[in-house]
Amino acid sequence: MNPKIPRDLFLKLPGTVDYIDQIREFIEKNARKSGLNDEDVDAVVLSIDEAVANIIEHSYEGRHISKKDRLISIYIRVDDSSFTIKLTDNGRFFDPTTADSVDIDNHLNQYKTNGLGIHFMRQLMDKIRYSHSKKDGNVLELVKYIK
Amino acid sequence: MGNLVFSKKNINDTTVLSIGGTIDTGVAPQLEAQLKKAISTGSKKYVGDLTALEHLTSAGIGVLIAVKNEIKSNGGDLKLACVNAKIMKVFSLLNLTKLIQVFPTVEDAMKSF
Repeated sequence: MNPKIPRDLFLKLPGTVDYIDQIREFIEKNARKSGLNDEDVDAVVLSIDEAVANIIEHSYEGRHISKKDRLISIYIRVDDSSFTIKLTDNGRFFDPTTADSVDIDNHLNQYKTNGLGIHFMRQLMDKIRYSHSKKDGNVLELVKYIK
Repeated sequence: MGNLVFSKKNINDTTVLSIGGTIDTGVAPQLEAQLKKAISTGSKKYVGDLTALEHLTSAGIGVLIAVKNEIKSNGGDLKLACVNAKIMKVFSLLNLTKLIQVFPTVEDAMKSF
């Protein structure tokens, strides 16, 4: 366990594009402290960027929920071998882990751009888990192993 | 939200589009609007200079792909130059260089037309 970082960290922010940079900074700062190498820090930051964009665009978009209630909670847990981020929101049920894999070459040859964010998360993270309950809403957990 | 630093200049018959900053889902619509305005002149040769690009998500890549498609349908082409290692890593996840050619410098990209 890296002594430079507390074991658990938490941030709760409005689920709008105005706050993505704060989420990015929170993740980057703590991923760096956790002992992940530079390339893996970039991978984690990009994956969270994509996950948060999905929450804003799919889970909260078009839903009759007031802006003040559109929140994203971010929990970070670090142990000796992994950096785990758990994102929760109270929007519409949205499970990115069940989205069809895209054949990237075929996709891009047809100039299609949907599904790229989920492709990134799958490529860049070591583990992705999703759950949904009335109490917790959407819970997306992303894990990166510390090499 | 990220931030977009954008400028455009013409060098001979090529339009150089400088795209910098942090392009995320919040900023991608601004990038799209700027690029669509820039390509509306009907020029055929475009180079995207990514020297000052610090962070790029799939939303920004989607814009580049859509703009490349639009330029191509008008008989032109878009090439990219000065892509740093971090952004190249993102491109490699998509084999994007198969779709949009990337060059070390703007001059190299211009010569390739």
